[in-house]
Amino acid sequence: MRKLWRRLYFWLHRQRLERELAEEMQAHREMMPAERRTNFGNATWLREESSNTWLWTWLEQLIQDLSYATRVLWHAPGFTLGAIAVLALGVGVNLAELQIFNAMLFHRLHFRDGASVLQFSRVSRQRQSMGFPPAAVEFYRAHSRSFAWLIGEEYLDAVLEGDADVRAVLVSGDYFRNSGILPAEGRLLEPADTRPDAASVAVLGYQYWKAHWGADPKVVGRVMRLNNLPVQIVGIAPYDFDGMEGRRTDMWLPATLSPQLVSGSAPAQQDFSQPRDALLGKLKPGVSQAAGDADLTVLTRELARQRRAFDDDERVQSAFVEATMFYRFLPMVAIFLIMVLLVLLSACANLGNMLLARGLAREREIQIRAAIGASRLRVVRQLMTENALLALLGMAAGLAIWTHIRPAAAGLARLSAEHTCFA
Amino acid sequence: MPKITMPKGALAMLILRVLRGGPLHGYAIAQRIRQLSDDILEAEEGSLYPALQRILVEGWATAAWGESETGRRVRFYKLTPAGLKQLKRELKEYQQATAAIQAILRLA
Repeated sequence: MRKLWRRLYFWLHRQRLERELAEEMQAHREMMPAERRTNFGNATWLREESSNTWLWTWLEQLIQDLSYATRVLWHAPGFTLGAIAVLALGVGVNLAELQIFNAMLFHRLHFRDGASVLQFSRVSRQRQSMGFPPAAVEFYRAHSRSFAWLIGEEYLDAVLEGDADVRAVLVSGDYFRNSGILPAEGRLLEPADTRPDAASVAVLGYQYWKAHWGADPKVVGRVMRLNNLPVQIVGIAPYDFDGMEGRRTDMWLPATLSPQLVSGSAPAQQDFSQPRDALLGKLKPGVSQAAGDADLTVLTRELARQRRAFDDDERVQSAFVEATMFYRFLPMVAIFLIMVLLVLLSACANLGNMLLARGLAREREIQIRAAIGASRLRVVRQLMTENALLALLGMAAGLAIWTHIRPAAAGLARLSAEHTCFA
Repeated sequence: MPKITMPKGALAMLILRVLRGGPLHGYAIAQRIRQLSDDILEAEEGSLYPALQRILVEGWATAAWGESETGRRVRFYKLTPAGLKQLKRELKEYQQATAAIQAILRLA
């Protein structure tokens, strides 16, 4: 650090220092006996060599190269504009692509605190599982102290009036309240829907509503037969809500319907038999992830003591849904990245051709530079500086293009989010 | 006699070694070095100055204007503690290198 300051000092005072050095060297020569004076060497060259130790030679050369590069590019406007256009298209198109992809894949958790939702799993020596028995979920919900909310999600492949393979999700009563979203039509599920005497109701997913019910707002209030159980449709979820795990969902039902929809299953409060619920939650402010895990682990020990549904050494672990989503979409991310690379590569290949053609035309200029003493490195550096300047300009133009097509890309992203469903 | 090309840092090391005896001006440094080594400054006595500038930038010595024995305005160079440390380190490295080479030569 001190050395840097010293260097800066020398550089700032270089004119005075150069004068002093010249004076000093002159005095030295005069002190030398006359017959040896020729042995002093080339004074000008030595002075330059000396001052090179003070200043950042590379910095000066960079400035030199940059100004030269600017002149060169300025005098070849056709080439420069062409190269910038190629780069700008490559960069701008990729940015827009990225934006659409980003909206489609990574921003699927369109609800309040979507980024802080945790999904829990159970880990013991024997196994690792994401499934919790419904009764355990109820137990956690009643006794844990670390969470702003905890909810259970049970996936169910149901049959709706002869249409098999409907993906229904049975959720805790406060599911939609915690997600803070607004319905597209009608209303969403409420805690009152999980009371024992409540009517059987369902909320449809937007895509399902569109594909199977023709996006008809009048379906709200209709009764449908799901696994032979009459269920009333009370509302439609918004188009961008894919559940708290970001998975395709056709409809949401209150968890209390489980015994009626799945024959032979007990009411949730007593059902320890099958670990079929996903457990999701959000920590209270100021509670660490480890503390939350520990809280649930203690409760699990308690359950293990009371029942045999858990192993004795079972621990509860959490992971952010948003983070695990990335791995779920990894194959698609890979394909997308290859696409992006191909676009960039074709832009680069085009530009490479242009530069190559230009390089041939500039052979003479480079030969002259070499002839008057430029080292190979220096010539390469000059060309590199030129290319870097070109890349910078191309990037700036790409950003400009992107800001112009950005609204269109956002619209496209919304459209694709409405029409496509992954996973 | 064929000219022996000296390693790049040798001149700086010699300057530091000469300055260990006390502050000297450029011409005096050159004279002392010529006493120590006939070759290194023979061709280009002025090459002392780029080396001195480098020493100043590295902080191994400081320079102050003063008057020479003959009444000229000259710059005196004075070794700093950092310069002394550098000299010791370079001497040690040099000795290690020569010891290694000598060991090889004995075997040959």
